[in-house]
Amino acid sequence: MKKGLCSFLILLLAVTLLAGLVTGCSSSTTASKEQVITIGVDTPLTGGAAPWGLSEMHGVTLAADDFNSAGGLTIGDTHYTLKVEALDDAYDTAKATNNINQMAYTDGVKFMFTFQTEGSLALAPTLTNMKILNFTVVNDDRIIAQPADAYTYRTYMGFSVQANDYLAWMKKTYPNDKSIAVLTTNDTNGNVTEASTKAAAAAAGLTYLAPVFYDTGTADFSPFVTKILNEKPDIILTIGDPTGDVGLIAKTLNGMGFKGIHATGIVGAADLLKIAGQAPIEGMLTLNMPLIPGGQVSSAVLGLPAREVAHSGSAWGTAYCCTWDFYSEAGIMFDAMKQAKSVDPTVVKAKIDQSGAKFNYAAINNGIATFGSPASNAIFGANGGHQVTNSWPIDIIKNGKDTIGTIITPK
Amino acid sequence: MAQIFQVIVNALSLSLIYILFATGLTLIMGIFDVCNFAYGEFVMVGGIATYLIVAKSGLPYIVAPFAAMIIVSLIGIIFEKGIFYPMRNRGGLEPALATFGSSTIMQTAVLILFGGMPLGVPSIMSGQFKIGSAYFPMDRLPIIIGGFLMITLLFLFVQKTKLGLAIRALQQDQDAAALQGMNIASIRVVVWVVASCLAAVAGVLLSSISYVSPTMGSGYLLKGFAVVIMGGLGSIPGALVGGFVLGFVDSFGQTYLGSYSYMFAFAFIMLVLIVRPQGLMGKR
Repeated sequence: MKKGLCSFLILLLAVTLLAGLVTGCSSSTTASKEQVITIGVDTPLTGGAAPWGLSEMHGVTLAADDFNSAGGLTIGDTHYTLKVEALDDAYDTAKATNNINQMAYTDGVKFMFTFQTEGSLALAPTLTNMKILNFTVVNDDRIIAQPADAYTYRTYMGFSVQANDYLAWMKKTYPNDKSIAVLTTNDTNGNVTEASTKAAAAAAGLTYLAPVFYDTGTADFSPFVTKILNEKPDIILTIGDPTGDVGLIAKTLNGMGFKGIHATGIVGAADLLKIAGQAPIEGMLTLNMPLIPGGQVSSAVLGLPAREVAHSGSAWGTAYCCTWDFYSEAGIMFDAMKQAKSVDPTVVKAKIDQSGAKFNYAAINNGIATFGSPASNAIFGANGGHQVTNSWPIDIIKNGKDTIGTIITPK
Repeated sequence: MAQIFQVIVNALSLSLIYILFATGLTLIMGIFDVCNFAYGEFVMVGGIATYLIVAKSGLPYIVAPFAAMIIVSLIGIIFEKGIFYPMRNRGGLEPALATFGSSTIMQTAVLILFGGMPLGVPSIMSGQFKIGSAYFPMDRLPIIIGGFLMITLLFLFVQKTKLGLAIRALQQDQDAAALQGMNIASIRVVVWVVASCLAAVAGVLLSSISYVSPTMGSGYLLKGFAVVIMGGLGSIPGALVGGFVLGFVDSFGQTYLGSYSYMFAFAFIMLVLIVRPQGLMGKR
C-alpha cells in the first residue's frame, strides 16, 4: 500500500514537474507581448481627388502589410505590427481638420499621413505638441516652414522643389514652345503652384502668362479654358489640380482645339482615359510613374496593381495611379521605425533628423530617400531637413498609356 | 470677337442645364410649396444611369435618356407616395427635412455601390468645328439641342394638354381644383414624373461633358434655387428667363472675372430681388 502510494506520489510529482515545465515554456511565450500600432491616414476617398486618396490608402496599407509580413518589429519582449485607419476628407478643409483631430485626440494615433492643404497646415503645430509623427504631401511650403523641431515632414517632392527641373526639361524637350500659363484651383494649393511656376518659368526662359483660377467643384470648365486660350499659351499647366478636374480640362481643351502641351502632376493615364477619352490626353505630361518592367522601376511597385485588384474590401479591386508613390512614402516611415528600433514617434523623428540618414525608397531599384539636400536646403534653409529628396519621373502619355519621359535625380 | 462667340456658346449650354435643373425644382415648389433638397440626387441618378448604359454596357446614347427618365420617375413617385403625400398637411419644413435626409441616403447608397471615384462617360459627340478663329466644341451641341427640345416639350405639355391645364389649376388653388372633381393624387404623381424627367435629362446631358459622382448634383442645387428665386417661385417662364440670365452672367463672369464670378452672380441676383422682390416673372 505504502509502495503504491509512493509510486502514485512520484507519478504525481513527475506530472506536476512536466506540467510546470510546459506551463513555464508557454508562460515564456506569452510574456512576449503583441501590440498593434495604428497608422492614421486622412485623405480624399470620394470626389474629384479620390484617385489620389484611394491610391494613398492602398499604398500605405500595402506597405504596412509588407512590414508585417517581413516580421514586423520586435523591441524587447514586444512584437509590433501595423494597421491602417483611413478617413475620408473629400478634399474638404473642415472634414480634414475633423479627421486629424479625431485620430490625434480620440483614436490615439501616433503616426499619421495627411493630404489636405489647409487642414494639414492648421493642425501641424498640434501634431508637434502631441508628438505625432506626420508625413504629408501638401504643396504649400509653409508646411516645411514650421519650427525646426516640428513633427511634420513632406515626403513628396513639393512643386516648389520640382518646378525648376520640370520646366527646364519641357524647355529642352519642346524648344518651340515658349510660353506657359497655369490653370489651377483658387485655394492655397493653387496659389502655391502658381507662384512656383512663375519663378521656374523665369529661370527656364519661358514667357509666363496670366494665370486662371477656378473654384473646386467646377463641373463646366469651358469659361476658364476660353479665358486661358485667349492668351495663346504653348503650355498649359494644371499641376496640383484634382484628377477629375484635370480630365475635364483635357476634354475641354481638346474640344476647343488646343494643340499645345498640357502638363500636370501625379495623375494616372488610366484615370484620365476614363474621364476624358484617349484623344484629349495624348501627349500630356504628368509626374506619374509608368509601371513598366525593365527600367529603373522596382519589382516591389510593379507588383502593386495586382495586389490592389486581389485585395479584399469595398474600396479595393481597382489599381490606382499613384499607389506606387504612397507605398514608397509609407516605406520611408516604416524603414525609419526599423532603423530607430522604436515605435516612439520622438525616437523615430530623431532617426529622420540624424545627419546622413538614408531610407529605402521603394519605387526605384536601390532607391534612396534622404531628408534635406542642397536643393531643398537652398529653398528652405534650416528647415530643409523636413523635405524629402528622392528621384521622380516625368511621364508622357502615348496611346492612352503612361510612358517614361525621364527620371530626374536631384543633386 | 472670337472669344465673345466662345463665351456665348458656353453660356448657352450652361443656361440650358440650369433651366432643366430649375424648371423641375420650380414645378415642385410651385405645386407643393416645399423645397426638394434631393433634386440634385435626381440629376445624379440620371448620370449614374448614363454611366451604366453607355460606359458600362456599351449601349447607344439614345437609350440613356429614356432609361434615366424611367428610373428617376420611379424615384420621384416613391418620394411623392412615401414623403410628400403623407406629409401634405404638415407645412413645408418636415417634408423639406425629409428630402434633405433622402439626399444623404441617396449619395451614400451610390457611394457604397459605385465607390467615390469620378466615373467617366464618353461625350455624345466629340471634336469641334471652327467658326472664324473661334471653336464650337461638338459636345455642347447635344446639350443645346436636348435642352431646347425638353423645354419645348414641357411648354407644349403644360400649355396645350388637359393634364398641363390640370397642373396649372393645381398650382393656382388645390382646393378649388379638387372641388372641380380633379383627381389631385394622380395629378401630383404626374408633376413628380415631369420634374423627374427634367432632372434625368439634365443628368444625362451633364454627365456627357463632366463626370459622374455621388455629389455631382449638389453643386448645381444652389444655382438651381438661385434661378428659381430670381425667376419667381413656381414660375416655369421665370425658370427659363432666370436660367438664361444666370447662365450668361456666370459664363461671362467666369471668363472675365475668373473665380470671383460666383460673388458677381449672386450680387446680380440680390440686385434683381431688390428691384423685383417677386422675381423676374413672379406675381406679387
